[in-house]
Amino acid sequence: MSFLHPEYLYLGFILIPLVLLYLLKVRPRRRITATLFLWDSILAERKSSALLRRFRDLLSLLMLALAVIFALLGLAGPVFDRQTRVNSLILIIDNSTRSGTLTKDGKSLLERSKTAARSIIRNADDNCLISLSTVSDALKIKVNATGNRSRLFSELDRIQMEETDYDKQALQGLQDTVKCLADNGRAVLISGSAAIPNETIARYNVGLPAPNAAISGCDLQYLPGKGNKAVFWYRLASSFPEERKASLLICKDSEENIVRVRPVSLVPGDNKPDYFILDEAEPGRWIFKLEIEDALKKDNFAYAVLRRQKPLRIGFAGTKNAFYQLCVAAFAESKLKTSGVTDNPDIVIASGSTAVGAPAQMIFNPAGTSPFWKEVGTGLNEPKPAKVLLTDHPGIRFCKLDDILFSGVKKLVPPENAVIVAATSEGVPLIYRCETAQGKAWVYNFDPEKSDFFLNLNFPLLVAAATADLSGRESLPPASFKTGSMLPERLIKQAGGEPVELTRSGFYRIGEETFAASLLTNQTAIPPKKGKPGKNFTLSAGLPWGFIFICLSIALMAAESMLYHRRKAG
Amino acid sequence: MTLSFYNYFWLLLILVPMTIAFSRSLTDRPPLLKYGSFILRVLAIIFLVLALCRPFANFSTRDRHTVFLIDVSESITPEESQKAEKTVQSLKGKLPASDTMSVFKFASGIQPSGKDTPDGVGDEKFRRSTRIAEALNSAAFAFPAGKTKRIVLFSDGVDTGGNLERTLKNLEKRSVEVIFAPVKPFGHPEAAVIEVRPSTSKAWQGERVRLFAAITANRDMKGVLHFINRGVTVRSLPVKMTAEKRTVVESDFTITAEHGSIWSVELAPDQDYFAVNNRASCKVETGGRMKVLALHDKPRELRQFAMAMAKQGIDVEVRGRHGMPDKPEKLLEFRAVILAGIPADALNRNQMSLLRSYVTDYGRGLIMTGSTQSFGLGGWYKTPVESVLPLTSRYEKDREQPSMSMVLIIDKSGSMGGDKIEMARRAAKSAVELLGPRDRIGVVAFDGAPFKVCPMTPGAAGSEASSAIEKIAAGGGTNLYPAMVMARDMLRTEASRIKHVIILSDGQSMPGDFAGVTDELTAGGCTVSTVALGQGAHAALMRQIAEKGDGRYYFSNDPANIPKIFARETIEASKSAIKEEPFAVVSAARDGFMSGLDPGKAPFLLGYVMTRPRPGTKVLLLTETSDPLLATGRFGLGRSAAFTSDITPRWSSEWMSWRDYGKFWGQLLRYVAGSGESRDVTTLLTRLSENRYRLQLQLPEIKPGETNWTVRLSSETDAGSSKEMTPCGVDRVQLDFEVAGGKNFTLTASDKSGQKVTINHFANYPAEYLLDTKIPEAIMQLPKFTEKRIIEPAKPAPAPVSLAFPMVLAGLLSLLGSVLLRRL
Repeated sequence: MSFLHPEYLYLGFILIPLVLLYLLKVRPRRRITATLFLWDSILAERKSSALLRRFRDLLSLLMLALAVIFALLGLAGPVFDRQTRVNSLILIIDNSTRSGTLTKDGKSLLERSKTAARSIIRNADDNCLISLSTVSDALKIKVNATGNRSRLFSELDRIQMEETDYDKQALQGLQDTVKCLADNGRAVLISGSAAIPNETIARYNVGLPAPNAAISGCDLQYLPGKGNKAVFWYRLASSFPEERKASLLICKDSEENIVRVRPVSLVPGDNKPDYFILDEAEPGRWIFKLEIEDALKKDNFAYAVLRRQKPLRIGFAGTKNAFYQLCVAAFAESKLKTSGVTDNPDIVIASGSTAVGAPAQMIFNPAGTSPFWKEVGTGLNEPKPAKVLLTDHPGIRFCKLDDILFSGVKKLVPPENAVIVAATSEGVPLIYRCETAQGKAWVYNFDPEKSDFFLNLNFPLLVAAATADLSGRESLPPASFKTGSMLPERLIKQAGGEPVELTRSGFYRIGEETFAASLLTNQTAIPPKKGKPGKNFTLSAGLPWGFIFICLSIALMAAESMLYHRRKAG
Repeated sequence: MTLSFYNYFWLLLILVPMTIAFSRSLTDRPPLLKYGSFILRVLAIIFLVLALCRPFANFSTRDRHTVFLIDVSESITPEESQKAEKTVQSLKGKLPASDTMSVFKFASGIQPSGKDTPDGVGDEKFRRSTRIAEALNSAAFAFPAGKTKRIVLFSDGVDTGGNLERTLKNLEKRSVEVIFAPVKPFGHPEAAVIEVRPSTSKAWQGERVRLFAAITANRDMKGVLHFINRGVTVRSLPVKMTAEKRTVVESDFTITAEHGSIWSVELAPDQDYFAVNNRASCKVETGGRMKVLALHDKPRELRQFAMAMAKQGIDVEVRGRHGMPDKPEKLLEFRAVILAGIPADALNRNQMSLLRSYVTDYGRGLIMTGSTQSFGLGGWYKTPVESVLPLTSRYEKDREQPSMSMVLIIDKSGSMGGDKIEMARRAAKSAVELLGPRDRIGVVAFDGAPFKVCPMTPGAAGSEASSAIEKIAAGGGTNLYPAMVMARDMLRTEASRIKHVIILSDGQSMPGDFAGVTDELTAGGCTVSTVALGQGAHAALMRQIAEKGDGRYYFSNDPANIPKIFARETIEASKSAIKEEPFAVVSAARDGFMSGLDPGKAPFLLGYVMTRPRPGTKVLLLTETSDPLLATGRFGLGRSAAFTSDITPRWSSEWMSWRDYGKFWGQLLRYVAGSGESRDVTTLLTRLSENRYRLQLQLPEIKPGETNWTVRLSSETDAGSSKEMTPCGVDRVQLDFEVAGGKNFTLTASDKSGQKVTINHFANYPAEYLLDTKIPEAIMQLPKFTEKRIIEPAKPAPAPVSLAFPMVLAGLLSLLGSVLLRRL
C-alpha cells in the first residue's frame, strides 16, 4: 500500500494529546448521599463489571485512536495497486446528432452518456483529476483537469446535443495529449459505439439507439425548360430491422402548409435516392418532413430553398438579328436559360464586326479590324466544305459540319492563341476560339445568310454550344447545406451578408438571400462502422478506499460515544 | 462552499442512536462539560461526513499554471527553437513562487520538452507540419486544478491545419489566456515554388496556355525557373525574388501533340536550404488528337505504322523496351497502349499491375500485336497484362507439329527458400500447362544430390506432374552436375524430335564436367537454356552451359520473373507458337469499328502467333487455318484488342500497302481507347483535413434516379481501391476519402454509361515548406510576449479549492475537544 498524500500522515501527532488526555485522572463529582445507597451501588458495580470497568478507558482510547488513524488514512489516499490507478482522466462525451437518439428505455444516448460519466466521476479515485470534453465534428473542452466533482457535474448537465455529425478525426490530436499526461492518464470516449481514431483512447459504450429513420439527403431544382416544374430529390436511411411504411410531407414555408404527401417505404440501411416532380413549384422555402415514430425527431426534417437560375443575357450587335434572336429564344427554357437583352449583356452575338466592350462574343462573317483576328482578306469565290480539326471540342458539340458548304469564307489570319476547330481544306480557318485582353470570342468565318445556314439545323446548335462555352456560369448554391458547415465566401459576398456558421437546422436569412441548413445525416440511422477496437473502459468496482476509511472513522467515533454514555467505555 | 455529492448525508443517521444513547446517559458529569463533549463529538462526525461530500470553495488565488508551447516545425530553425526553450528555462526562476509551468514542443503533434522524438515517429515527419490549433487543444488538458491558466505560444505563427479561430474562442471561453511569442521565421536563405497554375485546366492542341508560377524567397535573390514537360525543360527563365514577397512568373506555351499533360516548374535559386519545395506540378488536360503509346524492342520498326496513324489524326509515341511509364499520371497521358514487341520481363510487377489497372480502372485501351516477343513467346502467359487481353497464350498445338521432350532442372538448395522456390514451382507448373498432349516433361530437383521429382510424363497427364512439382522444398547444398547427368539419361530414351532442358539455379555449384555433359546433351539433339537467379548465381557457368547447349541464357534478380521466363522458354523451345507463312484474312464477325472496312480484301499477312480466345471475348478476324487474328474484349471500364500478326514490315509488309491499312488501325485504336474524358462533368476536390478529401461531381444533366458513379483511387500507398460515390443531390455525387500521407494521387470517376473523369492531385510538398510568412489574424490579435508580462504575478482570480483536508482536520480537533471535556 502506498499513499497519494503521505504528508497528511504527519497529522498522526494528534494521537499524542489524545493519549495524554487519557492519562488524566477523571475525578468523580462530589455528591451528598446516604451511605447505604452509596455502598449498595459501589458493590453492585464492582460485582457485575469489575473487569470491564478496569479497561473502560483503554477501550475508549483504542476506539478513538483507531478513528483518528482511519480518518488520516482516508485523507492520505491509500493506493493498493498503483499500476491500475488512473490519476488523470479525460472524459469525452459524444454529443453529435446521433447522441440525441433515444434508446429502448426512453433515454437518449446523450443522457446515458452523462449518467455513465457521472458514475465514472463519482467512483473515480478521490485524487484523480478529471477533465471533461465533448466531441462531434470538433473536440471542445468543457472543464479542465479538476478534482472538483461539483463543477464537473454542473458542466455535465449543461452539455447538449449538437447538430453535427461525429467525426473521429476530431480526436486525432488527443493521441499525443494522452501520451503527455502524467503516468496512468486515460482518455475515455463515452458514446453509443462511436468509432475511435486510435487505440490510446478507451471506449465506454452506453448502448445502441432504438430504431430510427432519417432524411439523409435532399435537393430541389427546377427542371430546365419545364416552367415551374421542379424535381424534389431525397434520400432516406433507416435502422428499423424490417421494411417500414411512412409518409414524406412536402411543405411550403411552414410545416402546416402541406403541398404533397408522398408515401415512402423504408428499407433497413441507406435507402436508394428517390425523387418526384412537382408541376407547380414556387421558389422559396420548402420543408421535408418524414412522418414516423422513431428515436429522433430532428433528423426527420430537412429544409431546402428552391431557386431559379438567372437567365444568361445575350445581346445582339448586327443588322439582321432575327435569326440569332430565334436561336436565343429556342434555348430560353433549356439549362442555358438564354434571354435576349439590349443592355449589359453577358454574351454578344455580332455579325460583320466586333462588339466593343463585350466580355464574350460570337462573331459571324468577320470584317474590319478586331483584336480577334490579325487580318481579313478577300472572300473566296466558292462555297467551301468544313474540315473539322477538333471533333470533340465543346464549341461544336452536337454539330455535324462535314457535309455543309460554307459561303462567304474570307482569307482570315487568326491570332496566335486561336484554337482552330474547323478549317477549309486549304487551311483557311472557319471556326475558331480565341482569348485576348478584350475578352473571349468564337469567330465564324462565313456568312450564315448567304448559304442559308440560318435554316440549317446546325445553326442553333452551334450558337448554343458556343454560348455554353462562353458563359462560364457558376452553378446554383445547394438547396440545403449540411449543419456545421460554413457558407462559402462567394455566396456571402453575393448576398451581402456576414460569415455565419450553420450550427442549427432551419432557414438563414443572409443579406438578400435565404439559405437552408439540415442535418442530412445517416449516422443516426446507420450503425457505426467498426473502427479501431480500442480498450474498453471499465468502471472501478467497489468503493474508494479513502471513503471506506473515513466511514470507519465515523462509525468508531459514534460507537465510542454511545458506549461512553452507557458507561461501557471511557 | 459547494459540495460535489449530497448523497453521503445519510451517514448522519448515525447521530440518531448517538443522541438516544446521550439522552439516556449514565455518566455523571457536569452538564456543561457533558453537553459540550457531546456537541463536539457530533461536530466531528459532521465534519468527516462533509469531507466525504468533497467540499469546494472559491477562493481568490494568484496560483497560475503556464504551459509553454514551443514550435519545432521545419519552418523554424532548430537554433530558434532552442533559443525559445532557453528563454523558457530562464523564466523558470523568475516566475512567482506560486506559479507552476510545463513545457511542450509541438509541430504535427505535441511532446513533452526534453524528448527529441515522439515514440515511433521520425523527427522529420514530426516537424513536417504546424498544427497550432491541435497543440493548443492538447495543452489545455495539461492544466492542473485550482490555478489560473495561461498558454505561451512560441511560434512563427504559420499554421498548416486545424480550425485556429474556433480553438482560440473555445480557450477564451474557458478563461485560458493565450500569449503569442513570435519566433523569428526561417533564418537560412531559402526559396520555394508556392504553386503552379495553368490559365485553363483543359486545353486543345494549338491553344496557348499560360502557366503562372508563384515563387517566394526569404531574402532578395536570383534564380532560374525551369518549365518542365515530360522530363524535358521546355523553357528556363531567369527570376529575381524580393524578400518575403510573392513573385508570379508567367509564361505562355502552345500546346502541341508532343506535350504531356503534366507541367512542372523547378526553381534553381542562388541560395537554398530545402530542396523539397523547389518543384511543383499541375495538369493541363490536352484535347484534340489522340495520343497513343507504342512499345517495341526496336522502335524504328514502328516508323511506318506511326506515320500511317498520324494521317488518321492519332499521334503515336514509339518507345523502346524501357519506355513503359511507372506512374499512373504519366501513363494516363495516353488514350491507349500498344505492346508491339516487348517481352514481359521488360515490365516490372508495378508496371504490369498499372497496365492492367489502366484498362480495367481507368478505362483506357490496350492492344497487343504479334511478334516473337508477344503473347506466350514474350513470357506474357499468366501475367496481369494477359488477364486483360482477349487472347491467351495457351493454345492447341497442331497435330502436324513435332512433339517435344523437356526436362526442368530446378535448384532446391537452402538458398532457394521462401519466395524463390515458390516461384520456381509456379514456373514449372506453367511450363507443364503450356505443353501439348503429345509433349513430354520431366522434372529434376537438386541440392547436394539430384532428385527425380517427376519422370518423363506426357503433357496429357499434366496434373500428375504438377502435383509432383508441388512437393519440391528447399534445403541442402548446390551440386548441378549430377542433375544434368540425370536429365541426360532421362532424355536419352525419348523419341521426340525436339528435346530441351531448362536449368534454374541461384548459387555456386560444386565442380563437375559441365562442358562434357552439355556436349552429350547437344549430341543427342537436345538444347539447353539456363536461368541464373540473383547475384549469388554462378552467372558465368550458366552462360557457358547455355551457349554450349545452343539455348538461351537468362538472368533475373526478381524471382517473380521465373514463371515468365519458363513460359517463354517452353513456347519458344516447342517451336510451335509461330506460323510464318502467308495467309489471307477471314472475317469472323463484324463490329461497329469495322464499318467501311473489308479486311477480306486486304493483302496477305506473312505470319502470326498462335493463341486461343478467352471466353467472353469477340474474335473478329481469323487466319485461313481458323486461328484467331483479331479479337476484342471489354475488361472493367476499358477495352483491349489482340492482333496476332504484327504491325512491322516483318509480317505486314504486304498488309501495309492495303488502302485501308491506316483506317483499320485508326478505327481500332479509337474503338479501344473509348470516348475519353467527359468534359461536361464538373469536379471539385476539397481537402477536409490533412489526409481527408472530398470529391464532388456536378453532372451535366438532371438524372435524379440514375447516378451510379464509382471512384478508383491510386496513390503511392494505395494500389487502387474502388469506392462508390454517394448521391448528394439531383445532379451531384460525392465521396469522402482518405489518402495516407497527403501524397500525389489519381482519381478516376466513372459511371455505367461510360462517362469518366480523371483527377490528378499534386500534393507537391507539405505546406510547412511553403515559406508562407503570413500570420493568421486570430494569432495576430493575441497579446504579445514580454518577459514582464510573463513574470508579473497573476491577477487574483477565483479558483475552486478543495476543503476536504480542513474538514477532516476540524473533525479530528473536535474529537480531541470532545475527549478533553470528558476528562477534565
